Amino acid sequence: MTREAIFEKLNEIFRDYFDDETICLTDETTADDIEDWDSLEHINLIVTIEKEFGMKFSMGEVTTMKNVGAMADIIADRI
Amino acid sequence: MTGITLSLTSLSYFAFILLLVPVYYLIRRERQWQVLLFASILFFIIVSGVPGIPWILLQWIVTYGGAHLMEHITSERKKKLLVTVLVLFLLTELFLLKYTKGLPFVAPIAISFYSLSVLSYVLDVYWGISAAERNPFQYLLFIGYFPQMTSGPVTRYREMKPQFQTGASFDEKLVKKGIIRTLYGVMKKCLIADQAAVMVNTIFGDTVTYQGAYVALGTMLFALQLYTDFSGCMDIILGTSECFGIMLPENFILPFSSVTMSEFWRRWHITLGVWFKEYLLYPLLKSAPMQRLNTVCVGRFGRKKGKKIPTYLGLFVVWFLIGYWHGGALHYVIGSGLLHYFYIVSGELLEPHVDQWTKKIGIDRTKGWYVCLRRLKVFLLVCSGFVFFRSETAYQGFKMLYRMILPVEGSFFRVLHVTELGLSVTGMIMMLIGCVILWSVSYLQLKGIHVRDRLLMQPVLLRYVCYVALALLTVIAMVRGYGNDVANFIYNRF
Amino acid sequence: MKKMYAKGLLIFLAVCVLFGGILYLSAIDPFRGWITKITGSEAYEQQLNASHEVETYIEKAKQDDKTTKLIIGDSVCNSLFGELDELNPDYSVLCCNKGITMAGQYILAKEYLANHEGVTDLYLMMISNSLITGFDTDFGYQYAVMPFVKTDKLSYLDEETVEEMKDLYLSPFMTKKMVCFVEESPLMKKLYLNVLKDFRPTKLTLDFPDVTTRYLQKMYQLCEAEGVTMHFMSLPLADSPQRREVEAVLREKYEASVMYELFPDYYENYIYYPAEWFPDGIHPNVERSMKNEMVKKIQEANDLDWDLRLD
Repeated sequence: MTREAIFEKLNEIFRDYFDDETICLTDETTADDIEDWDSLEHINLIVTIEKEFGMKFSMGEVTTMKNVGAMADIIADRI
Repeated sequence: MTGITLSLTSLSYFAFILLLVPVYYLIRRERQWQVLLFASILFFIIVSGVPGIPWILLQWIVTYGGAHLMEHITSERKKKLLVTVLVLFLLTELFLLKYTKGLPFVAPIAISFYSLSVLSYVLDVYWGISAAERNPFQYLLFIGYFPQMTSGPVTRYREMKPQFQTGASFDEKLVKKGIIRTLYGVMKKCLIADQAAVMVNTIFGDTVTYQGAYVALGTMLFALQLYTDFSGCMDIILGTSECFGIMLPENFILPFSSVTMSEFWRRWHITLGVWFKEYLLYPLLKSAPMQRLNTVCVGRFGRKKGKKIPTYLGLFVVWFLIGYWHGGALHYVIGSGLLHYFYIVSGELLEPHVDQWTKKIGIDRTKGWYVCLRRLKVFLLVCSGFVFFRSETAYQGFKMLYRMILPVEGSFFRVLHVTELGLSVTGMIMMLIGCVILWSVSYLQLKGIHVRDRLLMQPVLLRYVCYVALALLTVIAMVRGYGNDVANFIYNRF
Repeated sequence: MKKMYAKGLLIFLAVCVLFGGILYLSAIDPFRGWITKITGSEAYEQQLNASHEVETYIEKAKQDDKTTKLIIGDSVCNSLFGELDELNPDYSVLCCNKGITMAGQYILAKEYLANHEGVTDLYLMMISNSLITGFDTDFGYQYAVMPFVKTDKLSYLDEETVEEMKDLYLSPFMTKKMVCFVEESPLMKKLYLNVLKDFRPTKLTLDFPDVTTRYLQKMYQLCEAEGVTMHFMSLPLADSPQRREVEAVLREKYEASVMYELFPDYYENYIYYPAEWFPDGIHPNVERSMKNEMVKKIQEANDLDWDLRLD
């Protein structure tokens, strides 16, 4: 899967998860940029992404990923 | 104040730092960490005493070896077993030393803090975030770095290792900033916290006399005391660490400017919150059992409502343990744990409704007055937790709240004889002066101004007047709190 | 870095000068009041002046009130005999407290004998707590050093004793000027006494310090030279197992010391009373009539021939 395709899918997942069609992810997007993306939602979001892409993030990656760009890199690596 | 105690507001601690700084900067950068290690060992022996040494050494050796072993194991199952053993070992040692009464062991100082740091190291290695440390002595420095060895902050290995490894060249500006911050911390503690404590102790020490509005007063003063004491200590700790070019993570960022309880915990005792989030909440929520529960709940109640159940369950466990961590007693579990859990969850659940309602009646939630109301709300909720935190038992906490609203005599409202709470009028004035300084600095910080940087940019005369004034005020504050024993001797005729 | 340390030194000196100024002003009205309040030194104010108490006794010892018998001792002695001073024109009662140490008792005795003619008896009465009290950093400066220096009575003491005091309290603080300054400035008092305690903490041990044995001997020799009969006696004690244990230890030590040769009966005549009568474990808190009974008992036990009027 290309990086663009990953981003497209991530956009879909985020829009659906947060019920917000205006979300447009970039490499630099972080939790601060999306209103409902807080520590309580983080894990559920991660698990949803894992399910959609059929892969798993390690615990280390979950806590240390800096932004959506880093997330996409890990996904690209895994699938 | 005098005497070799190395307490954070003692002359011996300042002398310790003052002597250490030139030695530190005269050594080659790659070796500077050894100076810090030596100083940390000395500090530990003086402050915690020799009986505490075996326990910290035990943690050091076991986790150093365990982390290396973990990296060499290839089998996932064996790795999991090893990390479980290590975590259980650390938790058991902490539990036995800190939370069990009646055992003949003496807990080393700051064990509740550095145990969390060690746990985070072990888990970081397990999760592949950090590589196991090669140098056992650099690892020992991470565990026992002396500024942290009284009240934290809780650090993560990945933040500290690079700093210890590269050392620091002398940066006059940074050292100056460190000293200013240290003095500010001493001022907060001695001028504000120690004065407020007198009145708080009077009120909480006699729950029969002090009811109704006195309970409210006592609790709010305790909020002031705890904040200035704890954050003052942090200023001293971070400030003195800055003198060595080692930046420790912040523990307090204007907590009472928070508009929600969730935000409060991102601004109060930050490193504790981060630790519990990363090393307990996340692994707990991501665990298989929790995910199975999530699937079941989502299936039954739909995604929006269903996902909340395991989240709030996980949060409950986390908050229970945060409360317990504070002191292992019920009143801590309530005051620093479950009460906050209740407020946070309520806040989360009510938020969309409040949002709707305010839109309906045309209130702009970003307006200044509304924001102030929200901050006041947070302050009052936090204070309700402090009633339990400060009480001796949960029962006393409940009783005090009950007697606040329904005192034995009269109503909540009463004349507060503040001058009869053990603190002299002069003491109150001194405390007020300290508060004015605190609030001015906080106000500037709220506006995004870096106060110390600004101060360093001022003209020489103004700068030096400020330094001398701050130093003198700090000295007077320290003298105020000094030596109440001898006064007792004078009173006790024999 | 040198530049920073130089600037830091400058600021430090500025703060020292300012604080020194505050310290200087803390002994002068009207600044004294404000500075005392700001620095939290209220507990060290002049009203609670221990030194003045002792100076008064030394002054009294000088006055020729035509008495021929002297009673001195510690605060327990004072609680029993203090009120009898007015009733007995032939007795001078100058009971102080243990803080003045045996050296202080000696000074009182010497001063009295130097200013009175025809003295026949000297009664020294104290409990063992006072015997084991030497120069310490709790009470010593205020009850011993300050009054001795202010009344110029240090000359009555041996070189070795003065050296011992200088060693503990530091020579500069044994000058009249400094003693007066400490007295006048609650802030100075607070700083000096607390720093002294922090850096030279003294511990009370179950043993008799040099000052006790030396000055008891000297008092004996002085009385002998003046033809005065000296009586050294114990006082009522609160009865408790701990007290009995302590006294047993001290008795052994006493019997091995030079004091035993001069006053072998001190420990023979111990009198114990119910512990409830001594709320602080030291001073009897009873009616005057009961105190008089205690006095009579002391007279009996020591086979004394005194004609004290008790009411």
